[in-house]
Amino acid sequence: MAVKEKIVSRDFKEYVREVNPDVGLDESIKGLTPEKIEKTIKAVLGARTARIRAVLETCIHCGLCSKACQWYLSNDGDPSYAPVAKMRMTIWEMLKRDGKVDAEFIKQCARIVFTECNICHRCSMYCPYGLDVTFIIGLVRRVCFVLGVVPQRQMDQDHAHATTLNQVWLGQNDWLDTMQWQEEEVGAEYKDLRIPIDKEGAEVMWLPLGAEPKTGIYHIERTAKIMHAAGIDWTVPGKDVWDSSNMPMFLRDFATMQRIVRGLFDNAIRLRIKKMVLTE
Amino acid sequence: MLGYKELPFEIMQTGEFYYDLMKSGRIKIVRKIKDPVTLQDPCNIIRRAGASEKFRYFVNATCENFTEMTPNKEHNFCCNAGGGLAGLSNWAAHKARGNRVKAQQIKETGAKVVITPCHNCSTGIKDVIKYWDLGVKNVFFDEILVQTMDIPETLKVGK
Amino acid sequence: MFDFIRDPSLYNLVRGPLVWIAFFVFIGGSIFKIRAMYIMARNEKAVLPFINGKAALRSLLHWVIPFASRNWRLRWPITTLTFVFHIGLVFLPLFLLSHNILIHESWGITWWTVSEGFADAVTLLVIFSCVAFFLRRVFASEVKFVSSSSDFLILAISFFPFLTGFLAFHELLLPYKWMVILHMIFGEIMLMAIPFTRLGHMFYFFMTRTWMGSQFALWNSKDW
Repeated sequence: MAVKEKIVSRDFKEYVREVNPDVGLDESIKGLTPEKIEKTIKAVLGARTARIRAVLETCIHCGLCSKACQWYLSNDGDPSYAPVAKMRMTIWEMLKRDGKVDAEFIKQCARIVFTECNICHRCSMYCPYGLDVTFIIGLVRRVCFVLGVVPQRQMDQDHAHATTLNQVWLGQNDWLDTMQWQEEEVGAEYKDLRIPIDKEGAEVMWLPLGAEPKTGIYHIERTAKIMHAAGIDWTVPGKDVWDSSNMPMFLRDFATMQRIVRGLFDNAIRLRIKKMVLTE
Repeated sequence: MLGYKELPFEIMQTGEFYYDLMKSGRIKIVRKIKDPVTLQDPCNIIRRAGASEKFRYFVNATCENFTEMTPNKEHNFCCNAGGGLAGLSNWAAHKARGNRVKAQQIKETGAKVVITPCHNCSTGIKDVIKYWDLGVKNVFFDEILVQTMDIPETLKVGK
Repeated sequence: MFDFIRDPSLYNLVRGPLVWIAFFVFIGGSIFKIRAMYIMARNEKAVLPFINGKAALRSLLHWVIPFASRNWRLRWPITTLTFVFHIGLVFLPLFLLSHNILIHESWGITWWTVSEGFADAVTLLVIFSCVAFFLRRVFASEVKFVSSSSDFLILAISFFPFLTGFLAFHELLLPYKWMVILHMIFGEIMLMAIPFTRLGHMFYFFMTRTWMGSQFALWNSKDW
C-alpha cells in the first residue's frame, strides 16, 4: 500500500493525520472570516453555563479518560486521540484565544469532533469526576455547524432532514408507495398480511430508519412477518415524520432536531399508540 | 420534553420490543442459530437505555453458541459509526483504522456472526470487518428472529 | 513555644492573621463557588430536574472507594497513588499532633491524632506521590499533551506544604523556625488557592459525579 500523505497540525505538533479530502471541510472554510468565527464562538460558548464551567474548572488533566476511547486504544496510544486531548485541541484553545482563531483551526476542530468522536459517553463513564466530555464535543460541533464546516455527507443528511424530515430525501408519496409495495410482496406469502398505515388506536407504531425504505427494504419485509406472526396491532405513520434517525441531533442543529422529535411525538399522539418502536 | 411532560406512550428499540414479544409468548422460538455468535452492544441502547439484559435474553434464546465480547454491556466499545459518523463513507478507512480494538474483540470471541442490533453499529461493524478482513458477517435481530421463530403454517397462503 | 522565636512578628503574622485570612478565603471562597455553580445550574433549566439523589450517592460511593469502579481497577497503579495522595492530603493535616497542639493553644480543644512516626510515613508517601504525578505529567504522553503550566502550579501548591512540613519536623536544610514559617505560608497558600484554581475539584468532584450519576440512572445504566 502506498504511503499516504500526512499532515502535521500547525497548532499541535502531536496531531498528525492522513489527508482525507472532504468538500464539506475543505471548501466551506473558504468563506469564513475571523470576525464571523469569533462571533460564532462567542455566541455558542459565551454564556458559560454550569455544565461548561463544571467541566472546564474541574478537569485536572489526569488523562485517565484516554484508555476509555477506542480511538486512542486503536491508534497505539496516540495522545491526540484521547478524549481530554480532543477538548484541549478544540474548546480550551478557542477559549484561551478568546475566539480569535482562523479557518484552518476550525477545519481541524471539525475533523476532530465530527470524524474522531462518536459521542459514545464511554469517557464520561471512565472519568473519575464523571465529566460530560461529550457535551463539550457537542458544543464544538455546534460551533462548526453554525459556521457550516461539517463533513459533506453529514451536512447532506442534515439538509435532507431539514427538507424532507428523513435522511434519504424520500418524499411522502415514495414512502407510502414503498409500504404498499411491501404489503403486496409479503402478502403474497401470508394470508391477511397488512402494513397498516395511519391506523388510529393501534398498539404499536413502528418507525424505520430512513435508509430502510430506500436501501434496506428487507427490514420492512421481516418486520411485517414478525408483526404478523405475533399478531400485533401495529401501524406506521402515513404523515411525516416516520424516520427514527436524527442526524441534526448529532450536528447540534437544534431547530431541525426538534422538528423531528416533535413530529414523531405528534404522530404518536395523533394515532393514540401505546408503544413507539424504533429501529435505532 | 419538547412540550410533553410525560409521554402517554412507551418508546423502545426493536430489540426491547422483541424481548417483550418473546417474554409474553407472542413469538415462539422453534429453531436456534448454530453458528458461534457475538453481540455488539450499541451505546445508545445499552449505555443510554440499559437494555443489556434484554438483549442477552434475546440472543441466548435464539442462538446456541454465544460468546461475549470483552469488555461488554455498558463497558463496550462503540462501533465507530455512532454519533453521526455512520454516513461518512468517504472516511470509512479512517473510521475502521480507528477501531482496531473492535476487530480484536471480535477476533477473540471466535464468532462467525456479529449481531448488530442497531443500524449505526451495522455500518460500523461492516467497515471494521472489511478493513481488518475478519471473515465474519453481521446480522440484525430481525433477521435472526425471522429465521428462528415459529410462523404458524395456517398464516401462509395456500394452507 | 514562643521562646525560641527570634522574629516573633513574622511568626505571629503567619500564625495569627494569615491563618484567619486563609481559612476565611478557603471557606468563604468555597461557599461562593458552590453557590455560584448551583445558581448557574438552576438557571440552566435542564440540570436540576434531572438530579437523582440515590443514583448520585451510588455513583459517588463507587468512585470514592478504591477499586470500586472499573477504571480504578484497570489503572491500579495510578489508583493506589491517587488514593494514598488524596487521603494523606486531606486527613493528615487534620489529625497531625502539632496541628492539634496549635489548635489546643488557641481554642483549648483537641481531637484524635496520629502518631508522629505514622504521620512521617504518610508525609513521605504524599511527597512520593507528588513526584510520581510530576513524572507522569512529564513522561506519560497522554498526560503530557494536555498538561499546562497551571497543572504544574497546582501540583506544586499541594507539594510544598508537605515537603516543608517534613523538613521542619526533621530540622533539615533550614533552621526549624524558618522552615515552620515557610510551611505555614505554603499551607495558607494552598488553602486560599483551593476555591480559585482547579484544586476546586475538591468540591466540584461531588457536583459533577452527582450529575453524571443521575444521567446514567436516567439511562438505566451505571457509570462505574
